[in-house]
Amino acid sequence: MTIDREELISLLEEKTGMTREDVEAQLDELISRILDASKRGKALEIKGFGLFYFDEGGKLTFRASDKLDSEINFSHAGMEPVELEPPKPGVAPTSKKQPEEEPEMESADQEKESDSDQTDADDVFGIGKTLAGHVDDEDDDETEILKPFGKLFQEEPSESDVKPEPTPKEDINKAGTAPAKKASDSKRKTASKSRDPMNTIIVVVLAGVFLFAAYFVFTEFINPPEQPETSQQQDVELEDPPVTAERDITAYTEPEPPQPVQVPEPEDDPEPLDDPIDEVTTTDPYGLYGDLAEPEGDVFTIVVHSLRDRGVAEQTADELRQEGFRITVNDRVVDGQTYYRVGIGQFPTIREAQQEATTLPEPFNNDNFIQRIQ
Amino acid sequence: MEPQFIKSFIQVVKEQIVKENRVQIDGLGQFHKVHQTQTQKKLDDGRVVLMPPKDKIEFKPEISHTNDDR
Repeated sequence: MTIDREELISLLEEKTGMTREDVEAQLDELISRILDASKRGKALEIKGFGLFYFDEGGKLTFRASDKLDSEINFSHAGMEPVELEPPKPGVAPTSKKQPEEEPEMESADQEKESDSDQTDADDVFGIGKTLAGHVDDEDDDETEILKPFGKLFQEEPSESDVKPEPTPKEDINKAGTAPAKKASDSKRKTASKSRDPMNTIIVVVLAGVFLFAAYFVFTEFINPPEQPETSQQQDVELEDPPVTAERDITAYTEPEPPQPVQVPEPEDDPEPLDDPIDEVTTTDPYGLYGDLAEPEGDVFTIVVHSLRDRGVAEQTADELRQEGFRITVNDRVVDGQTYYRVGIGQFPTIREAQQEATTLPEPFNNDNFIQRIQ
Repeated sequence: MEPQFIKSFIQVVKEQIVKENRVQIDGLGQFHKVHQTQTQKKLDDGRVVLMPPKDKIEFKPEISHTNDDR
């Protein structure tokens, strides 16, 4: 649906409480000021909204402010880039972490991107990204809508916002402050985080040599007869730890309410008494469909709903469960607000989750993200 | 220009965009929301990162002017 001038004026009339004539006059003045400033080669900024300017091709261009961008993007709050492949050995990390999409964008935006690049691969679109200026002033009673990542919309943050300037600009409200401090902080962070990989390699090699030498001295000169026993013991120890380690990888999982179905039951199995052990081993804990299982190791899911109300999240999860999906509900706290994320399927790797996400029905196949849940 | 009007203007446009509506401002252009799905990006240092999905505001200008106008 398109909101035309008439409709826009009616909405503004309602919102401002001004008369129709006043609203029309104000709107016309706003448009003419944007055009005047742009034609003079200046950018006009509407604080909290964005910048208008003519680009080099003479085209009127609008760039949304960070604040507006955050608010429009609210349903994706807290998601961060996830590292899929580590840096190649021999390639020194550079301070420029990411190719810039727009060369003009600097300071605040760039800092956000470089910061988010530093995220751990373990935190798949996880916790941590703070969206500047997301405070509810009004419309707190707005509730979430069941559509995936729908309209979790919050109004009017109260914090002031800082905009980068691509060209000399006029501020329709008040002039913003320069984000120089933020930029220098960002540089400092980047510098401290980028270490020389050669140092690490040298330390590892030296440690290996030292350990080997110590082992050699011990076995050859101090305790030669016990050599076979120690090697056997080492073999045994190497096999044990993974079992306990896999149990311990629950750092990202919040305490979950008891799931209704945890253990797959052999409902329609015609030969239940044949070999129960075989049945356990053939049950696949991964995939889009089926009951929840507790596979060992990494588990990723395709999140299709992110809701603030636990009841609504559980209800949505039940509906999806009835369609045969393997459903999880995880809670995450973003900016002090708890979100209940409804995920479909369990997968051992991000890639498998991504592949399966494309096979989901509309609109889930386009509107989803992958999250690590174990 | 009244600050109350500017504030309301921002709110109205934002609300309509979030509702997936297009906002036409005669003389300027049209605002609407576009959804970008998650993408993979290769960084300079060889790392491959998965960028999360994102919604963006797009502005389609109604007017343009040549360099002669400046």
